Amino acid sequence: MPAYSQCIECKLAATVCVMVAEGKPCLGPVTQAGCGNLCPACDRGCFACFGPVETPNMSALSERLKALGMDARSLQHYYRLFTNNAPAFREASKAHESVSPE
Amino acid sequence: MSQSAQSDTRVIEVNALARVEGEGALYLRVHDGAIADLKFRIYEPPRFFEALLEGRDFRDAPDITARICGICPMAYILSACQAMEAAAGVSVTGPLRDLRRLAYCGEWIQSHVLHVFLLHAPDFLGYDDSIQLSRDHPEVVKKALKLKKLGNQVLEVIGGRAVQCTRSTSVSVACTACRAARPSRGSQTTSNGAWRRRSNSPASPPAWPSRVSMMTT
Repeated sequence: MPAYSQCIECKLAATVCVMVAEGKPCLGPVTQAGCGNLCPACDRGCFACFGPVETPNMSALSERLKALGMDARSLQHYYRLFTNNAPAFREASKAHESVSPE
Repeated sequence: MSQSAQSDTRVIEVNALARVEGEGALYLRVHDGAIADLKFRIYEPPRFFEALLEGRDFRDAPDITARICGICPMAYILSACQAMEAAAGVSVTGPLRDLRRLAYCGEWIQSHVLHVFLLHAPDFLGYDDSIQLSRDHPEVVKKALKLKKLGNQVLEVIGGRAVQCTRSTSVSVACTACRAARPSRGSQTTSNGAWRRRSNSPASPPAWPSRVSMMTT
């Protein structure tokens, strides 16, 4: 299993970054590589099937996603998909839990 | 299977059908060569996927419902897409609908080949399983696997991968549904339905669509 994030798989495969180029939210920066660069190559953001990478920078990604227009509640759900109970994602989701959606 | 043969009545009762995906049972009572009672029972418990979707962004639905089944995820992906589109009053026509139909056919091929050749055929021909069947009839099993692969390839081309397809062009809630949900948003869609930032105002972020509240009963 590679010790890097999904972002590196995109670079290795020469896949254009969906978040930088198209403003789509993507969990690639914090997600363990290994799926074979599946979703970004299909023109959509990674949704973290492989769980968090070893040292994910959740707060930096959260700030970027907020700048793209995601509110706290969207972030709370965004980190809470298939690998929601992995500590990094669980804590990042919880960090946006208490904020009122509207 | 339990059979009780009397003078003119025969009961066939299968409490766990092993050749269907999920849980099913069959009760059959035959009287004088005619079916007197036939019950096909699906007793699979509820999965509560509705609760998983509740309060989430409506575009999450297809990815989540896809996980209902690893053999026929496309059925649940497209059902979720259609449900969200119906909620937004959108109907999908033209090439996108054709692509979805083709993807569904791909799934239909791989799923039914699996069912017919690898689950049922060994039963009908008196083998324990398809491995045993392949000892005597390798060409039949090879043909089945080739057919299944063809179905998988249709899914890979259209959906990005054979199981749990991911390609947003064909298997996500149509862009028009997003537009209907939030007509005043500062974004536009590309021809393939993806959200893009407006090119003449790169500073304006794409507005997030409103969440869909799922009604559960």
